[in-house]
Amino acid sequence: MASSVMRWLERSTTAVAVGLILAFLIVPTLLVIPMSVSPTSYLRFPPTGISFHWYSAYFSDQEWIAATLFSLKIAGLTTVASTIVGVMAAVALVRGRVPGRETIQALILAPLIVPHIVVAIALYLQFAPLRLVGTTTGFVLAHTVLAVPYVVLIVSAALTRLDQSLEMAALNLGASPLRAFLEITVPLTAPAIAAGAVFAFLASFDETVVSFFLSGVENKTLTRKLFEDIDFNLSPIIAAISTIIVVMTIAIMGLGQLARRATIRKTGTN
Amino acid sequence: MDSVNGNRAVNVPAVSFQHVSRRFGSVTAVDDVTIDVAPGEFLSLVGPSGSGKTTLLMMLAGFEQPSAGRLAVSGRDVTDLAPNHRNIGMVFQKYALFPHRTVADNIAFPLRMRGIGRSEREQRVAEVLAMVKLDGYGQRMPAQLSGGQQQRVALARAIVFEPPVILMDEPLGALDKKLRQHMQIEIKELQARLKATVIYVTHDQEEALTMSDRVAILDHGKLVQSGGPRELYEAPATAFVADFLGDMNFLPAEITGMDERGIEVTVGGRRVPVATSGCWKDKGAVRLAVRPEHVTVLPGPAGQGLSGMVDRLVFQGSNLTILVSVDRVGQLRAQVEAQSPLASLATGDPVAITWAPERAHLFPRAGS
Repeated sequence: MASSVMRWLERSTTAVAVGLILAFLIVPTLLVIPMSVSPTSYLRFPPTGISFHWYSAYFSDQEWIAATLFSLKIAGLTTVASTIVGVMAAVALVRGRVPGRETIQALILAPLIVPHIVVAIALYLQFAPLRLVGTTTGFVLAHTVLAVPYVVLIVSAALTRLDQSLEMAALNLGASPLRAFLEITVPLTAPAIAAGAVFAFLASFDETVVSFFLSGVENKTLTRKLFEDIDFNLSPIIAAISTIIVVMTIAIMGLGQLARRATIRKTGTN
Repeated sequence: MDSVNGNRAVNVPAVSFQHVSRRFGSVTAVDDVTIDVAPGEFLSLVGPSGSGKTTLLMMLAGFEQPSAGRLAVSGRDVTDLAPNHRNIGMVFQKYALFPHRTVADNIAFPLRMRGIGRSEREQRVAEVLAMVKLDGYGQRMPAQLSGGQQQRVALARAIVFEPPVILMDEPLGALDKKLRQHMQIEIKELQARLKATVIYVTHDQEEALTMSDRVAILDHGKLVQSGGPRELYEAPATAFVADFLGDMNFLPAEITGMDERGIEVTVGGRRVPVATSGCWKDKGAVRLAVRPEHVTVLPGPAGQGLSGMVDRLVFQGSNLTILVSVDRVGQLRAQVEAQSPLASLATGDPVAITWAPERAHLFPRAGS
């Protein structure tokens, strides 16, 4: 009897602790949503009414839209570049016989560990003499460095799980290594590659520190523009944009999950 | 021209391993193996795990590079050829069916890689599906098939492009016993019908004996003995082979004398029948091996041969194993038919043990 009470206590304590941690993680993010519909001209919680004024202000502002489009362009190009580089690196690391594999892996994953401010300063110092600051090329290069580790981590895990005898069977049946890769490896790791691409997109789209250094007067990412705006007018437009970003992120992650489930249904494996 | 090629094909082995070795660092997985496989032959590679049999297969398929030696298929040296240019059929341990492709697409894959047109592909896929008794399963996904059916698809995929040799790496390991026995017969029949050359890796000695024209036994990377199943079973060259294939009693024995007619052997101080023509030159300790089914048990106290006492009878369906405690030697197993009158023996009954002289094998005592 006593032990069952203890067990109940234990379990409810755990549940409460987990609930609190989750709330702590998610509530600040969700608070921007009520703040974004505030009719006031400054950030206020709780909102005094409901108005979509700040959403329309965002969509009708040339500068905000330009920054958004620029961010989307950089994120899109970064996704393509880092997915290609990351998948190739993962294949080499997991399947290849690469000398110094551990060192190479550590170098590829280093941007996850090295503080972004260090990466940002280093890139800025390198890019300035090359006139890459404020250019699309510069941004895509910098963000690809930051996004590749996500792709490598996710795709490596999938390759490790993938039965290698499938690739061997393809070779044995007469497929060239490239053909085996495209017809067997890629389709069977597609969910992981897609997940890696999503993370790469978000890694670029959310990136602030490096963007802060690399942004020019013309080419400015959305995060940099948000940062500037906070400095001199803290209007609910910030909350409105944040809400759009949060909703977009959740939608992208959701799509990734759906794709994964569809693949599992189709092949009976993941 | 045709007759010249015809003659060549008869003489040239389908597969030839010449002094092949494979070392991984300080470990020698395959140690100087030389063996030829004749066209149409079913050769099994058997041995305990780690004996090098799978490594040997992987080298032939091109997934491992030999550290030394050459490999040839139909007279062509393939040692340095990439796996996709070797044209060797292979059935993998876990089948390795492409899970995202239908059964028909799996089987058509090697044909597509060889640039064969759609209509011929469809026709040949239908043919092999019929051959493995899976007509109408073409549009299923591999995950929708049972283990035995997946096994058949893997087989169909390996034979559809008519390779000169088919490798099988423990293909029945994942199946339950009944299905395994059924598939053994099916694979054997298919091989005979196609006159295919098959190299079959298994750790199951019974499977090797049932299916093979010839069995090659590997131990610690070395080829210990190869020959027909009956030859290996009845005349094992080493104690390892004797122990590995089938069931065997090993008894400590002594060579006590020899003359021009043969040698004199005793077990536990009693003279036993041995008809070895072997190269035994010295007296001394040896191991005597005799199979349980070759042991004769006579009720009553011993006149000649060994005397012992019944420990226990073990009923095994069609057979009965009699465990006998032999004085000063240890336990020995005798196998008789379940219907034998010996079934009435009881624990503690005195019995005499003997065997036909040609059924006993002598091997050096371990460590000597």
